[in-house]
Amino acid sequence: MVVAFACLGGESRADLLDQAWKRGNEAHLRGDYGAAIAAYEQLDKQHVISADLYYNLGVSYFRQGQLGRAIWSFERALVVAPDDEDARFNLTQARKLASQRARDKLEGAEHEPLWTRVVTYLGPSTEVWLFCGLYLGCFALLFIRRGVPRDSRLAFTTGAAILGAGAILAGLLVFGRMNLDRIPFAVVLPDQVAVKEGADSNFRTSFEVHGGLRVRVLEREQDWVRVRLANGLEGFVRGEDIGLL
Amino acid sequence: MRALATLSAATTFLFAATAFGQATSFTAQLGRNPVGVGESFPFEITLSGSNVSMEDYRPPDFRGFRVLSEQPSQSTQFTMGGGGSLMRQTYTWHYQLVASQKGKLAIGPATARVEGREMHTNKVNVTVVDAATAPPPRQRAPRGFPGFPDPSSIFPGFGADPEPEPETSRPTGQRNFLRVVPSKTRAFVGEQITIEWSLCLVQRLNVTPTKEPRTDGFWVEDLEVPGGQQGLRLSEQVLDGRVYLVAPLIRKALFGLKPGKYTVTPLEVDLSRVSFFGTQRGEHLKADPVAIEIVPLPPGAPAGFDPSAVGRFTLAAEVDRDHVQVGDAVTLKVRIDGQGNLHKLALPALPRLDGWKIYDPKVTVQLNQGDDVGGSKTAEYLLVPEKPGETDIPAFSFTYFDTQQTAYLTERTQPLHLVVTGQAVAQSPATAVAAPAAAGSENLLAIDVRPLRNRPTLRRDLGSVLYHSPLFLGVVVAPPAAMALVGLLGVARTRLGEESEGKRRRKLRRSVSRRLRTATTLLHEGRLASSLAEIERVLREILAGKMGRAATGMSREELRASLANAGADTPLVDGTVAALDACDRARFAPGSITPEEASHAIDRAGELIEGFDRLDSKPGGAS
Repeated sequence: MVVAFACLGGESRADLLDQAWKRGNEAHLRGDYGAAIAAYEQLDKQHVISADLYYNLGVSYFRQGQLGRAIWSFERALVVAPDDEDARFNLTQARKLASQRARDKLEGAEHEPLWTRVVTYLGPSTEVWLFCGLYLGCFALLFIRRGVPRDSRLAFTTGAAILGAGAILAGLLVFGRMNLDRIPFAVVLPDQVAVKEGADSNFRTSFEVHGGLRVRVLEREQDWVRVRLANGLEGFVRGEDIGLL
Repeated sequence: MRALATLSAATTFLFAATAFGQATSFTAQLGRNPVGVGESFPFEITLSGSNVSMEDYRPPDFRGFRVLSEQPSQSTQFTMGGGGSLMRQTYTWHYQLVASQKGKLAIGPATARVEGREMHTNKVNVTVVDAATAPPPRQRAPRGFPGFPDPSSIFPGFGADPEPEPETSRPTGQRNFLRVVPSKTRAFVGEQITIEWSLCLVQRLNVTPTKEPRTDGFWVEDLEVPGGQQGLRLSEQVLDGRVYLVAPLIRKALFGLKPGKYTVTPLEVDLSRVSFFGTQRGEHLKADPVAIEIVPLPPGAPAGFDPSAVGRFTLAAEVDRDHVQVGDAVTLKVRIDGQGNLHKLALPALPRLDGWKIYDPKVTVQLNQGDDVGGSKTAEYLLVPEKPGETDIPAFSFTYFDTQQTAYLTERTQPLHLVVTGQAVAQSPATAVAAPAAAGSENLLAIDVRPLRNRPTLRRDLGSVLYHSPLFLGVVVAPPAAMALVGLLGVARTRLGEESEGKRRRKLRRSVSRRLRTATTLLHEGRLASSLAEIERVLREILAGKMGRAATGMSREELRASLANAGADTPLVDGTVAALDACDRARFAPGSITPEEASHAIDRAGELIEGFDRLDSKPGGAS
């Protein structure tokens, strides 16, 4: 409960967030996608994590023709809620449209390893709640076990062991996700980006990538980031040209 | 005399004729012909004459060639003869050229004003062939180039030609060095400056670059180096009268970004020699830094001028079709061709078109190989009409600064007329309701996304917030920490509940002292039975502490045995039993005890207690 209250924050802040959310929705519905994006981005800058927010942001970007950013937003929605069917559909549509403009075909690209797919099968929220429930339940049973007579302790011990085993599995998923987040994924935002050999625009262009392409961020160097493609190619792009997932 | 005069006149005539025959000459000579593409070769212009004064020398038009170096020199020759002395002056301009393209090229005439008269050199034809088919530069140059082995065989692994034996008698250079040749050292913002770093060697060595030049303040494009893929392409050149093997290492095109004075730092390389005993480190070479001044563009730039648009450009715009159905895409290409910093310059923007959906353009840059950075930059727009009608895409215009004309020029395209047929499509599922398709017509449903989520409140994902929050660590750490804390508290409580031996002894002593004082007080009050009852309690407490069990209920024999087991000697045991007997007697027959006996009993109890205390300190004594 304490955690939940801490996460919720104050009532007034929640009201402000809801107002910005409504403002964005209204702007979008009257066709003012620029204003809608501004309102949604305001929420995003306040570190609001919401699959709905990312979803709506993606729809507004799509309507504005910013396909790279639309793809990024739908990807973010799916990171938070992997079972979000609408976000998955919209992501497919946006990628389809983007491929009509330009498509990056990565030769030698490798599929994501099995452990990555396992770790990202559930959303971070589900994993965290699952882990917390099992983990706290396990310890709760252990506490209770201390206070019951000896002949009644076996049931509590068995229950704590089962919950503890579940907590270990859920903890492995959370740990795997944290490990995955150390080299985060990102999405190319502009329609076309020249990937440089070094962290400066004066460096030679190694290759070009297009909006919506998933890359991994290896390191930051001032305003530039070193990215790696799925086929192992690496180069530097401006930090503003990619959106972290 | 007459003969002497005749001889003198003849000598004078001969000298004058010689002087006339050697009158001012202005010639151009080629080091070798044909030459290969990308190979350097010497070219020399000589102006020679008696007491000539030269001014306003203008070099030839080297179109199709790149000038690697230019070295003017001047020499004076005195000739003493019968008619007097003759001073002959020779001006020489040595050029090192590289042909950029294949074919029959011509080097135009150079001009100079000599004694007020304009002179021209002859036009020189050069046949440029593929580098692979060009003959090796073995023949002597006009100024006496020595024969030299095929340079491509000097570096092991750099060339495939067989290695001829070097001629040991030829003159060679004195030292190895790096040469850096900028095409210019003063340029406008955005104007190209080509810099070439070449390696000049006198002998066969391996090269390892150790430090690349830094070009801070410039936009840089790397230019192709002749033979760059196959290794170094060496050619012999005469520099300062010495023969060197010269190979271009790096070529860069620099575009100044802002006015100011900049320095391109030196290139550094290590030379080493490979022998039977392995690689031996040679010398370290460092090129000269290059100071470059970037000057601002002249005033008068039109509004919206892009400072990167410096060079020579043409602009074109076209659509792939001018009649289109609603919902079908039209591709508009806006293209700039020319020479300049194409990567940096901005293409003219497409204005908003009413009734059209415009996607971000796909921009491609295609650069040509060559000395000058150039090629084309194309923006490819995807336009999708949303309603029928006619649309004019306005003319695009592009202003650039022409460095040759030193003027701002503007390129313009023609407006493009587009005709859209069909029916309007819905703008968006959220904003408009699509009209029902007419019977028999095709209802085109373009790629679209599902609509907005218009929930009244924003659903936040608290799990993800917790995942990214430090609180998550607290959730992980808190339960085991609480468990450990509870365990520690239990242990502490158990430990606190146990009395230590010392504490128990101190407590016993306090109790004994208190009871003895009470017994003494009762004795003084004349309450003998009560006084002895206190003494009995003291003794029983002491005994219980020493024996580990209560003395009450024990028979005298049991008491003796227990005390003996506790280490008490016989007098102490007997004294204790006697004292307890006296107390019993006082309790059951109070009148049989006198005050003296009671006082003696208190003193005796004190001695017994001291005896039990000493018993504790004895080795092996029970505690």
